[in-house]
Amino acid sequence: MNESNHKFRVLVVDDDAGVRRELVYLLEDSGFDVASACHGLQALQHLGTIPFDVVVTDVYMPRMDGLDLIIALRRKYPDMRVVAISGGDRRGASDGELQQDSYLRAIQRFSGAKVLYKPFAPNDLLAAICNATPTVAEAQ
Amino acid sequence: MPLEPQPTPPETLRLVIDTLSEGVIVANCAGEFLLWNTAAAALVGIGLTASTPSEWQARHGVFLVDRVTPCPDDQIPLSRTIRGESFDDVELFIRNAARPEGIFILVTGRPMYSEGKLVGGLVLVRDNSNARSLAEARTLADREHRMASLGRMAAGIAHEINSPLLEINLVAARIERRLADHPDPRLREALGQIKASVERAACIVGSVKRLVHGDSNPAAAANSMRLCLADIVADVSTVSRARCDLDETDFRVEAPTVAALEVRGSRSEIGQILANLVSNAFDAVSKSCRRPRWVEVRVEEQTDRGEVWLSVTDSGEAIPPAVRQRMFEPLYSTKPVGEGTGLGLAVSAQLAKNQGGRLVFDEDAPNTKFILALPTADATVNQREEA
Repeated sequence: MNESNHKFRVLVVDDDAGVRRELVYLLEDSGFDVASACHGLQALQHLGTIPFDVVVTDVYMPRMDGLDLIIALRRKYPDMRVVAISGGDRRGASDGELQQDSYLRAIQRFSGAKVLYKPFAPNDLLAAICNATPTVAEAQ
Repeated sequence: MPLEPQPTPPETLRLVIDTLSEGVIVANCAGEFLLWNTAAAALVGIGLTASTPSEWQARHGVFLVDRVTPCPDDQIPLSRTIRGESFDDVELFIRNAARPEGIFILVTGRPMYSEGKLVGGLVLVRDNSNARSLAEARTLADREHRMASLGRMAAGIAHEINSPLLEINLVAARIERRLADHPDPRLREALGQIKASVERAACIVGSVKRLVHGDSNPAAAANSMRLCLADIVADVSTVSRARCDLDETDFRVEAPTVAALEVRGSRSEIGQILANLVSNAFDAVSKSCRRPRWVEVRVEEQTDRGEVWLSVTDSGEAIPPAVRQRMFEPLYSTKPVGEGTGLGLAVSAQLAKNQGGRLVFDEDAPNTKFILALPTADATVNQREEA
């Protein structure tokens, strides 16, 4: 625990209920305080009421997707650490892979967020969170 | 009052046939050219000099519409007419020194009789390149459209499958955490099996996407594992066995399981290359009259090069030199439309590069043989250390 004696708070944002639930279990078992949202707008509502240290967000979601969420986070919470997770481009652009890659690269460049490709191993996510927030390892 | 036919002066006849936009060629039964017009000379590209019918194919560069198969002597249009055959709009391809890019022609032929006796033959030749170009452009557009559709589908499938795969992975990890002290090791093994299957499914999804989009995944190469080529050969063999019975083909495999024959790379991508080569080999064998039919897959070490060679050889017909020159080009195919995408070898060559290797055609082999050359697992490590 850090000086304020609070667990690191992680907000998980994913429109897939099964993935969202399992990410919450994984992070809770790893010692984080976790909440979840099913799209970007709901995530911003959570963030308006409780402070979070890390946001783990899916990229392609309905209503407000990951990039829009990250843009909003950078404006409102410039110090927020972000880990983006993606399964690929469900919109299926005609040049899908290139567009998808450039989209994810844009996220990485724009936000400094680490992008993990689904399906990743649980330890990859924990490592990404630790790298995104250098103090997390000692905080747990 | 009806006009009486008048004898036509030879110079008028010459003027008439030279005015025609279609090529006209007339030969006697011995195959000697009796008459041809300027359009014929322009279309064929080289002068119609004295020659025998058996020389026409090579002299004038007459090919079938696949552009590479020499037109058989008995199918040369003028040869057919002087045997008494009639035909309309037969399409052929002419490529010779004067027409290096080649030209598609449509040929109509008629035998000529005098007093009931066959005395020779006549062919009319028309340029069909424009119609051909349009048809090919349409085919190309169809293929691109199909690939784009496939790309959209692959991207959609990837997204929809990767999320449940992640969920399975996370559930397995959760069970593993709960079973940390469970005495039965088989439960842990089962969880390991689940995770390995998830990884394999993710690899397949990634391969399909890479195949459709033809790009590389540096992250996959960086995380590449040590692979035994014999295992990959065994996978592809399992899938290919069904075709052995279907095509009455002997499928020979020589792939020892030894450390020297291990490489580093993506199992699914190397498997994709091998599956493609084997599929092409079966196609070639099934279309060939040669007996016995066989396809051979062989893995061997090339110690002096620090490479492992995975070769696929077949008993089919030799690949014509013109095809060899172009067969690695994307969208080039000798298969009928609908049977081949023209992407197989091009994509395989790209995948081979992704693995740090190369895919080559063995010019010296007595049979059709492709070699996938990959650095050995140890050579890859040495290269990385040097880098």
